Amino acid sequence: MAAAGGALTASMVEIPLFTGQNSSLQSQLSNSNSQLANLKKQLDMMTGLVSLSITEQALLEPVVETIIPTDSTGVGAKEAGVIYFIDRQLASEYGLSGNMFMDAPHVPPNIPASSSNPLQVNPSLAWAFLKLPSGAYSPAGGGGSANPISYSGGSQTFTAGGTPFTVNYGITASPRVGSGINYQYPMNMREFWRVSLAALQTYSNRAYGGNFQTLSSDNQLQTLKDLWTNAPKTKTPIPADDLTGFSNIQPSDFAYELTFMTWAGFLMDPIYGGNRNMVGWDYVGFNGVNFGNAYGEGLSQKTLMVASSPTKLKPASLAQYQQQAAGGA
Amino acid sequence: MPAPVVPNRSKPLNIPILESRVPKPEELVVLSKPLLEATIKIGNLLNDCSAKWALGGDIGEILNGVNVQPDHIAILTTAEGCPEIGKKLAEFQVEASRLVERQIRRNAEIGPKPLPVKIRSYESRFNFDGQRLEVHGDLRIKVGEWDWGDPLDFEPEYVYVVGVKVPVVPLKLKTELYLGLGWMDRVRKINEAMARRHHKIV
Amino acid sequence: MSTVIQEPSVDVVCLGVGFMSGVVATELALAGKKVVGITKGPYWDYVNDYSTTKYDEWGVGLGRKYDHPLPLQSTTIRNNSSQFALPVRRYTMPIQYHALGHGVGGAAQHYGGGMGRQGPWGYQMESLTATAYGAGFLSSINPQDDTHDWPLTYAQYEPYYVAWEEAHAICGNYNGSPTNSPSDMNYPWMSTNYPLPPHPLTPLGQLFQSTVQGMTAPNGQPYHPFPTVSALASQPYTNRYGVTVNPCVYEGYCGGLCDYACETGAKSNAAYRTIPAAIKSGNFTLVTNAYIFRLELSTSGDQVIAAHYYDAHGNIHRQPGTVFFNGMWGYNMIRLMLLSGLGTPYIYNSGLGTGTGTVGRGLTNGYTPYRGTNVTGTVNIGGNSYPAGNGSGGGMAVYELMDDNFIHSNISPPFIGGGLVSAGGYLGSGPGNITFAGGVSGPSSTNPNGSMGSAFKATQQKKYLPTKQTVGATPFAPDLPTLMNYVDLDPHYTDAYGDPVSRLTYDWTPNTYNGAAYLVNQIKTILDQMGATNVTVGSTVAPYSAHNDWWGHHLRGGLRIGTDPNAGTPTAWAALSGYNQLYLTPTTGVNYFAAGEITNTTGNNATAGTHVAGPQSYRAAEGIKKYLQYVATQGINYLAS
Repeated sequence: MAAAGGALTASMVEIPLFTGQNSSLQSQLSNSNSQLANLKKQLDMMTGLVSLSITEQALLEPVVETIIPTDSTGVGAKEAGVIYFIDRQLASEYGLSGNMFMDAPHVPPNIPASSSNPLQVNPSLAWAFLKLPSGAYSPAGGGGSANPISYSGGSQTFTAGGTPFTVNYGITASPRVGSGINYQYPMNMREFWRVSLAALQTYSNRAYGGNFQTLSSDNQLQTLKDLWTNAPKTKTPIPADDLTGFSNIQPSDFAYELTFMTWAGFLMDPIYGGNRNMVGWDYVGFNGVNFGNAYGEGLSQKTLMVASSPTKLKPASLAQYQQQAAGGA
Repeated sequence: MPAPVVPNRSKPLNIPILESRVPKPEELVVLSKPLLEATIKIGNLLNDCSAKWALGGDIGEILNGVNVQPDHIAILTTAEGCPEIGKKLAEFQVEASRLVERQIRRNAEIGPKPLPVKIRSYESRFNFDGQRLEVHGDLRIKVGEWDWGDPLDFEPEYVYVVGVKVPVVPLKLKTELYLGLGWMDRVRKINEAMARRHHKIV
Repeated sequence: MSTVIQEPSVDVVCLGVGFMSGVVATELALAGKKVVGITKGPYWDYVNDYSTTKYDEWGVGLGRKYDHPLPLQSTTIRNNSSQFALPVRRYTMPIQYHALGHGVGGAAQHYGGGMGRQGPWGYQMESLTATAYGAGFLSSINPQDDTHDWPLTYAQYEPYYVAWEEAHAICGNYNGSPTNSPSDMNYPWMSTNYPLPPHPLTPLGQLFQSTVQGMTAPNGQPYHPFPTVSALASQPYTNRYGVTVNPCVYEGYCGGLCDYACETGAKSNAAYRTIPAAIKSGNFTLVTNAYIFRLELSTSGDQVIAAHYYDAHGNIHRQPGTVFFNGMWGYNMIRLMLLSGLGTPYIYNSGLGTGTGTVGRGLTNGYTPYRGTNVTGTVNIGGNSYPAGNGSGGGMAVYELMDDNFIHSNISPPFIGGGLVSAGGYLGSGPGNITFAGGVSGPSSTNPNGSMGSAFKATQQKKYLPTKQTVGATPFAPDLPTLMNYVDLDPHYTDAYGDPVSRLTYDWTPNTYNGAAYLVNQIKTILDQMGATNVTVGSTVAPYSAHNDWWGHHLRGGLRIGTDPNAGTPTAWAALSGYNQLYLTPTTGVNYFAAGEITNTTGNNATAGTHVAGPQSYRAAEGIKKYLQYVATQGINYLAS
């Protein structure tokens, strides 16, 4: 039997009362009502923010709703509690970049380099001591010393396959958005969001005449699309030292982060604060931790995995699974 | 070559150290090599047996991951199976099949006092490089003064031992037997093995 | 501040305790030798550590809570030696940024469980190509080509494959060879079948099987489909060391681009296959939460006499031994050698196009270019794309498009080798939510609002409940070794202890793309025959236009095995990395062919989980036994020098 849980709406608390004579039924109903009221209180206790400021919340709520709107197909980011997911992550290890490599030097991937404009970077101290007597290890341009190493980019011509082709290299490998080398900023994720959300609001005002939450929904979507194309930098540039803007942050990097975390907030386990009542899983047809029998369906993985047509399973959460595992045989 | 220069840095505190408990040897379910080899040999020799047979006893359990330490190999079969097996394993035979009744070492622990447990079967013995094989046909069990039970009957389940598919006595039957004998420690061991296998996933 | 603790000397010191060290430690411990295994993480207990908490895409897939902490040691990557290599600063999705494993089992903590032997051709790629297509062919298709034959043939490695498969409970049913004959150079023939039967086949796998059985391959013979080879046990199993193995329960939090650890031990991992037998023998000591940072060398500079590691409290330990086996993750192993001054570092001169030295040389990859030449179609077979199944079973594969199974003359653009093509793996081999989230994109011509808004949201509705599937592949041919791709030490970034991290200089070689251009047409023919609709061949990718920026969980190489199998030095016997089986893990609602290839990558010591590395670990164990005998009879004591 699944444990009771999940988000409560006002409509769930209203239960039509029977006017019948059955006192045991009435006392059951009154028990259920008080249980529901308790659960609603519990949920209300969890419905608060620990990291996002009031202004950030006022901005972020319509932002995530623009990305995943409430519409005819189903609930959107607001009801799924996406901002609670983002808020909790920014307050925890994710926000502190606890599992990230944060050492200097920080070289953003969008800086081009060429032989006339090489990138000069000082080697780490460890490099100096690594000069071994058996034959100093020396990479191109330096090594085993404290001299700056120069990276000039350039191009290379190959003739493999018969057709010569020339490849021009910038300073870095592919700046594919979302790649693990794309985030090269010297700030932690919480700071990244703080600066970027403020810059988003600044851009909204400069480009569309008001705070994001006051814009029409068309302009709201357009504002977010503009992030992806780096319009804040190209169309409405402000001095880099103006701290209300994106400064050295690429708007498209924040666009990726924002969109990614919104969808994560919609689809990760509810234990992290989003995907309330598993509405996100319900929408995409995901089972969570229901392997076919969480609600007594009596289905088996071995059958489900070789089916040629789908069977929707009511999703179960990680917390539910753990409660069942603890209570079960 | 001089010793390398070693940076003298103490452990950074922000790297998570995960609790690590190396298992003790007695917690690990590992079948001994001589028994493993004997089992493979037996499995190959009996793979075209027409009579029903299965590995029982502790060996049947350890092959399913139960943490026991068999010291011999036991096979359960029908009365008809005994001569067939005897023929296939003839060169290893030490004692031909004969009806044997005896009390086992451990008593039943289901009442206020322990009760003796007897088994009766067509028993034959074999030797595989020093490893003992006991074959029991139509094994019956008698607890205390109760009647003899019916010959154990079951559908074997199958496990693989390296490349060989071998039948084993189902753990469900073993659990029932142990419950009947009151050997709760053995029931617990099977439950632990099955918990490791299934993790509450139905 | 830190004290140095002297550990007693042992016969064998295993650096890292993953798949490879698992084999070596167990073989040597069971042979009565004293063995120490050192790993930087814990000994995972799959019941206590994650059986109730692993069903957590966010924590496992992005937080990597059961994985290597990135601040401890990261890596830097670049495509070309003229570039500044950027550090990988965080784990993101998809999976490729968590190559290093952590703890006993190593990278097997987070793989999908695929296996499959490299065929005979792969071991003699250089000479066979010269014979078939001329001595200059390889260098004409691969810039600064560095392809070489292995010192042993497949036939000589074959018994070690058997030992590996018996130890690790590999499931399958041969490899599609019509004759299973040792004289067939184009299939991995087997002296004995895989020890476990394959997993149940999906409807798409059945369709693929029945379709290709009626088709003729480019070599003029029918296709011979065979089940995809899986390292997840399909039945209860006891391995060659007497260790018992639980069968897969198919709950699906397995692959799926997060690649989960297995909570029943069904997914092969040294922690549940080899190491238990080593511990049980009483001859093996496991040191966990210990970070190896140096190898101490003899005064002659060519023998290792001790390993230095930090324990969890910051103390330095010095562990001497007679033999050292490096079972660390590929480029981590190279890094340790470079930090320690062991071997001749590989140095590349881009101006001259030359490379000298060995340690770090020959990096290749085994994964699909992220945007590449592809072919897809739609079949009207639905299924359950939520977790149900496992990461490596359910499908069928064909070997006829691999190796030199078809004539490569007159194919333009030219290439050698081919790809392993398969279809039908379990749709629900792992949740796709986080990978989808990681794949969000901005506005494009086909997707005007990117991953935002109602229209895009609607495309995600019920995506785990497909009534049809997209089938296809982004195939590629072997990634060939070149002087330009290598591992060295990064001059700018260090690990948590101040030592330089590894730097990967790598980009796809043209052979991969050129092979794709040919293979997609073969796959298209199969898709047409399967009755797929909307069969579309994507545009051909120009070489070097889709740069590799992955940390490289399928990168391998960096130290070649010796070329003389009879040489007295350990390198002739040492374990070796070099298998490239790639598969496109299915995203939700979609099933792809797996396309892979075999390369000639070589390395001394293996990347975990690769089937080609497996035999090398057994070779290493055998070589170590011989070496210990040699040292004992000669009375040599390297510790004294």
